Amino acid sequence: MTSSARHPSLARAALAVALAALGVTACGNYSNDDLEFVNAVPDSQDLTSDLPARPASTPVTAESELSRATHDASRTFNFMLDVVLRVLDAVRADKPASGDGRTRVWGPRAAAEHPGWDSRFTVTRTAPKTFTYLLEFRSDADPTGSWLTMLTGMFEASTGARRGTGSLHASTHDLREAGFSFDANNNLATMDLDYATGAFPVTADMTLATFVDPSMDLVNTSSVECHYAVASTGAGALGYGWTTAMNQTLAVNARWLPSGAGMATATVASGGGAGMTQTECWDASFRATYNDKPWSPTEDLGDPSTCPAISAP
Amino acid sequence: MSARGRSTTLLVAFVAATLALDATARAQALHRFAVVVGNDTGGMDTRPLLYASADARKVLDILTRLGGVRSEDATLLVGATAAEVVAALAKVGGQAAEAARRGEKTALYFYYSGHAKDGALRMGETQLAIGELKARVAAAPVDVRIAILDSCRSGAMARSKGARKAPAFEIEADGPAREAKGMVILTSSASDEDSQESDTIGGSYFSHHLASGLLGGADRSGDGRVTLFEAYAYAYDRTVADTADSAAGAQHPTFSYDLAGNGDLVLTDVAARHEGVYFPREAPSGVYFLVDRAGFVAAEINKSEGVDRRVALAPGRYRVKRRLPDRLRVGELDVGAGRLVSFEEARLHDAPFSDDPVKGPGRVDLGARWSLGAGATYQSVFAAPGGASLFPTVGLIAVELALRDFLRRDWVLGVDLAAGSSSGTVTAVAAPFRFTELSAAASVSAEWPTRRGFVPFVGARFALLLMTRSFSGNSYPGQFFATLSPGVTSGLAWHASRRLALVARGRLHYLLYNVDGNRSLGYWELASMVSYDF
Repeated sequence: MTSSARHPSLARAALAVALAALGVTACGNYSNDDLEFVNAVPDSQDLTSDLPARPASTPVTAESELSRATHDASRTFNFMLDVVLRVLDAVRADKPASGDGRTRVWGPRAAAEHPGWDSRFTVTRTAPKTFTYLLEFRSDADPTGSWLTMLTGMFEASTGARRGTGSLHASTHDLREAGFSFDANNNLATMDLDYATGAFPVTADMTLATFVDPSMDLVNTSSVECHYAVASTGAGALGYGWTTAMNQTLAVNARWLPSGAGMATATVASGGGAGMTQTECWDASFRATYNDKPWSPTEDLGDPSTCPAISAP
Repeated sequence: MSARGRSTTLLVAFVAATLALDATARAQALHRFAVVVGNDTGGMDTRPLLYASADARKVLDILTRLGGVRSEDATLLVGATAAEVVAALAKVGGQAAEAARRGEKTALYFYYSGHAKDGALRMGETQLAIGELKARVAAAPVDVRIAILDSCRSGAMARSKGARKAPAFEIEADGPAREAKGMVILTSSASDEDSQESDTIGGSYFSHHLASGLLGGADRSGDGRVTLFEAYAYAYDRTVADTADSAAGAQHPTFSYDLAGNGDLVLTDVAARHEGVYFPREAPSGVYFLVDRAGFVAAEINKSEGVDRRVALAPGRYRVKRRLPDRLRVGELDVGAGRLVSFEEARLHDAPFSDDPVKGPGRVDLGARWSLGAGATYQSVFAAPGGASLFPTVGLIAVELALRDFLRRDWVLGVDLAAGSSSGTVTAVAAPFRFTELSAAASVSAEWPTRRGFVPFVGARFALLLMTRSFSGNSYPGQFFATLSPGVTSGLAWHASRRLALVARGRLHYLLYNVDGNRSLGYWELASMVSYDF
């Protein structure tokens, strides 16, 4: 049967639209390469101490001494880690603004939490599995001025998301001098962090320096070192320095099970009882089950058999 | 001339006129019956026609309005079965026999427009052998039988003793009019030719020109009456001319007659109704198209120089078109009930070819059919860097809305939506992810219906893809990718019934991936679907 074209003008219009649409480029942030660059940036969730919290049924006064000190140290460790890595979390949430085969750059863009400042985060691939990164800030008041570095780091990937070894160095001195404002409870001067997440135990070693009073001067600091490890079983360990109310400086090594039950040894580095070592164990409610405190034997209690069997991760 | 001679002359003229008038009157006094059949479908191994039913309605209108057939003596069968046609012929035969007993002379018009194949008329899933039809028409208890077939290879009906194929006639305008008795068969094509429909005129060529002729275009004698021979000659000339360059080849109507006497039967009286359009002799010569409100050609009139024409159009508004080498001449006419409107060239204006009223907006699209389908699709991206680590294979659920015979016969416009999800792992960082895809696409395909309801098709498709992936534990931010993807599609549909079809198809698409550099990728799909025709 005859089949002459019907609605030829409509057909021509549809073809024109289709041809024009072909000129529209694809868009999106769907990239495996980007993931490798993002993978180089540490995530605070990978490194935070997961010491279980004290249950509400155990009042503070009933908690064992060293578990309480370990909780304090764990909070400080996590807080400082968060101060630094939170900035990177915000960066990682977005697609890089630019880049090529070796580099990805986030920004420059306004730092939402620091009005008046722009941020720029750069990740560079130096070898197939090795990356370096750099976090910088610059004041809006001097758009052509130099970028001030807050954080540098490197990462060597193994297998898995953010699995590998890395290190970072954070410094707030230059930014504070330039008028960059930090939260009132953030007195971070420098942080050096070395970590390994490629296999268990996952470890993080932190050297932390804090300003005594950053509002007064940017010279006087105090420092502390922490070592954190977690095993595949969920058992954790935290090593830290602790100054007691009696001005003793103790080197504490705490270990715990996923339930929270654990033990710690504290060796007096300076002050009364120097060289002595306290051993304390606690149960899942963080109540002491055993305490051997040579310089205060009246605080001794329990039986060492109540201590959980935990090997260092 | 003497007074006596003058009186003799007048007497002879009077007698001749009376005889002629008497013959004409006797011819017009025929009690006419009509069975008009139109069927667009002809079974699963044929493609639906677009205009057969419309042609039948047009012919019925002409026969009842101008052809002396009373409405109670006319039977219209649209989409009927063979049994219903046979029953209608039997009923009319009974009515004619009753009329004959009252001493009336009778005539039967049988008109069919539809499919014919392998020697039979195809009406839906039923068939009526042409030989049987001819026998039934021949056996009808009437004085004159006129059978008109507009279908492929209909000329086979005219092959019989005493009947001959006579493509053109010299109309015996001066011969004495004597009563015609017997059978006449008009067919739209020869026994080895296809009969063709035209989307331009909105009907089949033969029926269109036959109708135009019966409306007055064929009135060569100019007496306001269109005879059988005039109508056939007109339809033959116009049909051959219009189909000479068609893809299916020229179509030659046939005319066979087995009549006692050589009288020409008047089919329509366009003057008696005094309604329609009158083209005066001074109107420019050429082909005039009279287009109704629906955008279809109601009549196509070939007006000769210095000759007037009367076209008995039904009341309504019509657009008039005459095609010149470099432009159109167009205008409008209003035909009122009982009014004969005189055409005036001055009321036409020039228009570009793009303003052709025959293809204007508002035209009713007969035959466009909708269908809705649902099914499943399997998609796989190939040549992707990282393979499935980038775009994993995915299963999709799809729905499709399709429109057939809108742009062109046997062309299908389709719009489909699909959605699905799967999972994958980015091996470089060992990160599992959940992949989701949404696609919206438009396609145009050409179909080739075959026997037993199988319909292969090939087409082009244009898809908008939106792909997203999310990583477990929020280890990485979610990602998305949107792109336009051209492709080709091919497959096979099997019509399990008139409305239900199973469809299997394959697609091949191009995909531009431009996030990690510009890369030309592609994907293939296998899909199956159940489709329902409305």
